[in-house]
Amino acid sequence: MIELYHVAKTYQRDITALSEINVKIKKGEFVYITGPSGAGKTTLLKLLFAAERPSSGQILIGGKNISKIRPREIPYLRRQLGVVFQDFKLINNWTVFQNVSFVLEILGFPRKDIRRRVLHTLKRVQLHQRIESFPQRLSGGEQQRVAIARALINEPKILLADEPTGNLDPDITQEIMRFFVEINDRGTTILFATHDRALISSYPKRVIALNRGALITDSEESSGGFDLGRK
Amino acid sequence: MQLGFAFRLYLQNLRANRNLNLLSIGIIAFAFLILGLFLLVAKNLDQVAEKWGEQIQLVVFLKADLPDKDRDQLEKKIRARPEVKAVAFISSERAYDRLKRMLQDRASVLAGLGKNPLPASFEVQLDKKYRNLPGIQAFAGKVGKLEGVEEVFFGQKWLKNFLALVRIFRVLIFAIGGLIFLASGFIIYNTVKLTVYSRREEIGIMKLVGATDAFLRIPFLLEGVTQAIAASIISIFLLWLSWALFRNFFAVPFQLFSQAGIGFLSPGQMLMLVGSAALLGILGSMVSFQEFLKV
Repeated sequence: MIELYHVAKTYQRDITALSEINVKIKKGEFVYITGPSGAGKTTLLKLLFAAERPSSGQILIGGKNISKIRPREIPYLRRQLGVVFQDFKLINNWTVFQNVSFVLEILGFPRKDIRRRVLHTLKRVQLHQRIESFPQRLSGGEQQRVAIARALINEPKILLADEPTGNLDPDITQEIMRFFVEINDRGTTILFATHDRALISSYPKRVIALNRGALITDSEESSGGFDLGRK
Repeated sequence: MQLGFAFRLYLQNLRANRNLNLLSIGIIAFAFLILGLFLLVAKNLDQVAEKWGEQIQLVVFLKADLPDKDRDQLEKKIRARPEVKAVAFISSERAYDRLKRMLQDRASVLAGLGKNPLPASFEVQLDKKYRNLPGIQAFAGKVGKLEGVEEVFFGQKWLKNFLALVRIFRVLIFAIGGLIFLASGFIIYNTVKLTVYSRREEIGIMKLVGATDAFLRIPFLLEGVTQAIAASIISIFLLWLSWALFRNFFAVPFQLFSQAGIGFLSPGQMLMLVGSAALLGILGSMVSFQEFLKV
C-alpha cells in the first residue's frame, strides 16, 4: 500500500529532516510513527500527502510513485487519503455539517447523497446530535471527532494522523483511540504519529521509531514483539 | 468542477465576511471616485476644447469689385470641397457694420476713412477631420489660388498654439488617467489580497482535503468582481451627488459653460467605468490569489 525507498528530506541544504527511510506498509496495517519532537514524524506524513516533496528517494502509494507528483495531481492524491491533525484544522465559521460535507461537495456528490453520508459518518463518531454546531462550541474531543469524520467521509483506504490525541485529555484520548482501532478493523490502513508511549502500550501495533530524521527501529523487522524506540 | 458549490461558497463568504467586504468596497470605491472625478474633469475640458475648435474658421477675402456672378461661382467651388462644413458670405457692408459695432464709442474713427475699405469675404468652417494645422494650411493654399481670391486668413500663430495646447492636454489626460487606473488596480489587488490572507487557513484546509486551485479560485474571483462592481457603482453615485451639489453652488457660471456642452458622464462612460472595475476585480483577484497559492 505504502512503500518508501531511500527517502530523504533536507531543508536549505544542511538541515536534515529525514534520511534513508525504507519502509513498506501493507494494506490494512496500523502503524505508529514515534519519536521525540523534531524526529521527522510530521515530515514523513507530509511527504505522504504531498505537502512536501522528498529531496531524494521514491514514495509509492497504491503502486503510484508520488515522489515527483505534478502539482495539479496533488488534489486527486489527497482525495484518496484521510488526514487528521493535532490541531483539528476545522473551519470555525462553518457548522459541523459543512466541515464534513464539503469534502463530498468538492467531489461533486448529489446533495441528497451528501446529507445521508454525512449523517451516517457523524453517527459513527457519535456527533450526529451536534450537526448544526460550530466547532468552537465543541470540546476538543468532539472537534477531533469532527476531523475524523471529515477524514473518513470519502472512505479512504489510508488514514494519516499527526498526533491526533496530542491536545486531548487522557480519557478523551482513549475514546478517540477506540475510533481509530475500529476504523482499522474495517480495513483502513492507518499511519498514526505520536510520541505518547503509554498510548502505544495500551494499543500495541507495529511501531516505526524515528530519531533526528533516521529510522532507528521498525518493530516488524526487529526479531520479536514491538520496540518503543528506546535507545 | 463543482460550480454550484463554488457559487454557494461565494455567497456564504459574502455573508460571513460582511465587514471585511464592506471595508474593501469602501476602499475601492474611493479609488474609483478619484478615477471618476478625473474622467469627469477630463471629459468636460475636452468638450470645451472641442467647442473652441469648432470656432476655428478661415476667412477668404475676395478681390475688390468681384462681379456677383464670379462670386457665386467661387462660393460653389469652395462649397464643393470635401473639407468644408459651412460657408457664410460677409459682404463688405456687413464687415463694416461689424467693425463699427466692435469699436462702439470710437466708431467715429471710421468716419475719417471716407469710403468703406473692407473687402467682402467668405467665412469657412472646416470639417472636424481637417481642423488641424496641416489640414488648414493645405486648404488655405488651394483656395488661395482660386480665381477672385485676394487672400486667405486663418490666424496661423494663434491656431498653432491652440492646437499644441489641445494636444498636450490630451497626452496629459492619457498619462494621468493611466496612472490613476493603475493605482486603482493596485488598490484592488491589495484589498483582495487582504481578503485572501484573512482566509488562508480555510484555503489551506480545503487544499488538504483535495480541493483544486481552480476550484478555490472561483469564489475569490467572484468576490473580487462583486467588490469592484459594487464599489464602482457607489463611486458613480457619489460622483453624481458631488456633481449635483457643485452645479447648484455655481449655478451662474454653470449656465455659461453649459453652452460649451459641459455635462455628467454619459451612460456609455459610466458603463465603461463599471466594466473596467470588473476587469480590475478579475485581474486583482487572479494575481493576488496566484501569489498566495505559491506560499
